Amino acid sequence: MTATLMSASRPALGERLRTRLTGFHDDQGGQSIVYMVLVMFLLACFTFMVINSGVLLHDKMQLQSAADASALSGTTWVARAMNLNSMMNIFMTMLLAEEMYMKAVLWTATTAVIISPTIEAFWLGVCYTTAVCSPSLEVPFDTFELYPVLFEAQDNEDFLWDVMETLSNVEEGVHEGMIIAAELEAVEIARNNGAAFGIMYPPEIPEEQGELQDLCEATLDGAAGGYFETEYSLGGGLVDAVGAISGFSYNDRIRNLAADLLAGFFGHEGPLWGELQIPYHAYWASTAPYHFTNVMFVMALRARYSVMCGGADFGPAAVHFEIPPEWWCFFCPNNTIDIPNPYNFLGAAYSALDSSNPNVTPYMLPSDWERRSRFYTFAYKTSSDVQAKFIPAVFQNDLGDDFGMLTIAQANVYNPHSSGGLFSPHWRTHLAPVQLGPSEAGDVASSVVAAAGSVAAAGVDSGAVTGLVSMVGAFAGSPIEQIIAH
Amino acid sequence: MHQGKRLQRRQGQAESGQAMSEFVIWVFVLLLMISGILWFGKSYDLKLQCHMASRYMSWSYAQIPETELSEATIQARAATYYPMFENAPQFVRLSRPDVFEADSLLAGGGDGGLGVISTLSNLISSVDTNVTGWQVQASYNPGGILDTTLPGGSAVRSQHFVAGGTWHKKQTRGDDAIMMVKGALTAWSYAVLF
Repeated sequence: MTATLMSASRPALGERLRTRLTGFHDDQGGQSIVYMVLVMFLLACFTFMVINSGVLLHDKMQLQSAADASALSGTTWVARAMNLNSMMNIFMTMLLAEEMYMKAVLWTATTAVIISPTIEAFWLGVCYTTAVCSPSLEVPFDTFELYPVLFEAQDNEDFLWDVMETLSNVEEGVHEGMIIAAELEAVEIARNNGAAFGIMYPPEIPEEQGELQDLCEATLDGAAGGYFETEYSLGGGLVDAVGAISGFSYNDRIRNLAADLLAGFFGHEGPLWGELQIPYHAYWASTAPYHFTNVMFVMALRARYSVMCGGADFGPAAVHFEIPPEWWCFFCPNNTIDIPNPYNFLGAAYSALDSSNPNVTPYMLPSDWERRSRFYTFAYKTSSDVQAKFIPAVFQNDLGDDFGMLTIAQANVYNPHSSGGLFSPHWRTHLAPVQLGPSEAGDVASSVVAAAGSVAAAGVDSGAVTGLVSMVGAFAGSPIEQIIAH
Repeated sequence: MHQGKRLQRRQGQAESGQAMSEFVIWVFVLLLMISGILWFGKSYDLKLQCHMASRYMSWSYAQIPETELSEATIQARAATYYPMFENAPQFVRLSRPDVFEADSLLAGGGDGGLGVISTLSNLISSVDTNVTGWQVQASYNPGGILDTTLPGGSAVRSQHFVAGGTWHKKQTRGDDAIMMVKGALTAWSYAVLF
């Protein structure tokens, strides 16, 4: 009975539960606030991600700009150094031409002082005995006019060597000093543009110390984009000037002979066969009126170039002639005659005298200059410098975001006159796609670590230097893509 | 039974319009957020424009020795390439700040440093390094409500520094220098020969 009453007054358990759940389901009080909080949270997260991604992209964009500007600014100094050394190399070719002139003066005057009295005495004798000519008594005495230049030629040549050695030393100073300026500029510009630290690799200018003979080709031929005689004419060219020179006994035949000899060397565009010769021809025409000196100077000059620069060809020691006997002499042998070649002896004498100066060491382009003209700059922000509050994994490098942010840029030093080498002061720089292969990564890492250590003493934030060193050091032997900011 | 129906009717009357109110509130919030995101995107675009314009200005000025462009041409090109007609752009030329700390051993300064880096840095600065810096700034909503309601206004700006001018032959008047040396050597030759 009791059980029956109870079952009649109270619904069954399943019914009660259904009723309660239905009531709970129908009760919508407070539901909206839950939704609102949830959606607001999601929207806040979404908004944060949007803003954070923007800030993060700005961080990277700023750092990449810093790397670009740093690379361009650093390599600007490299190009400046190469342009300065190119200009000094051009000056040295002109000085080398002058040195060859002065040496040719010395040789010509020496030869003239030794030989010309004999020659002139011989002709005086011929004239007096045959009475077919009337020699001037002034001629023998004019030999003495050569003595001043003979005694001073060596001093003048030494002066030219001194100037060239000084220029050579200046080139060395430019080579050694301006790479420091380049590295400092790279650091400074990186920091000006928002990076904590930046550094450029490699810390060397793509030049190498050469020797005097490296100037020879440009002295003779000029260099693309550098010195071309026809472009730097003071007054119409050497042949014209020599043709116009007047002076005692500088008659048409001699003038033409000298001009022909000069013309034989033309086609060369360097300073050697240019207008710098004019004072010397004027000198021989007016001061030392011996016909053969005008011609001999040109030959001595050519000999000087050959002795110093190689390719010396002074002809055979003697010119051999064979003269057949008369037709009726069946048993007569050929007549042979060997006429000594004076130019051969002259060349041998010059070669024994002097050839070079080891103290003149102009800087030249190395054979692998194109590889060495690629410069890499790293710009770095510490993790605290990165303004973004959160770096999603997709933006992180392999080291994670605890090491900060790193970007890399490449700038190439180039010359539009590519064949001009370090005689063409047109060096420039431009940004290029990064071509840093794994094989170079180890060198870059060790160099950057060493350079950063020295720069750390320069007052740059040590934390930034340490961070950069950690990051760069981590990629030795691995692709650079693993550590740069993604 | 009748009481229950009245209660239900009363509750129904109280909830009528609630969905509309919530909808309006949510639409308002969403519109606010969407407009905020759009505003942020637009201001970021403006920031990019300023960034690229400052980069262009700095590089163009640094490259004047190579390009020989006039300042008016560069400014006209910047205005064409990076148009910010409604954003009141301002171009401000900057001088480079000193980035080396003064308190390190080598940097010098007032606490006994040797001053090596400072000296080198000043030396570089004293040479015509042709470092140019430009700041380009623009306002998203010049003079509008955002300028007055946002803490920093709606202006964005970007700075860029770069060094240029490679001292090539044209920049250093190398042709004149070569002619001068040639003339000097010719004069020297006359002087020592005669």
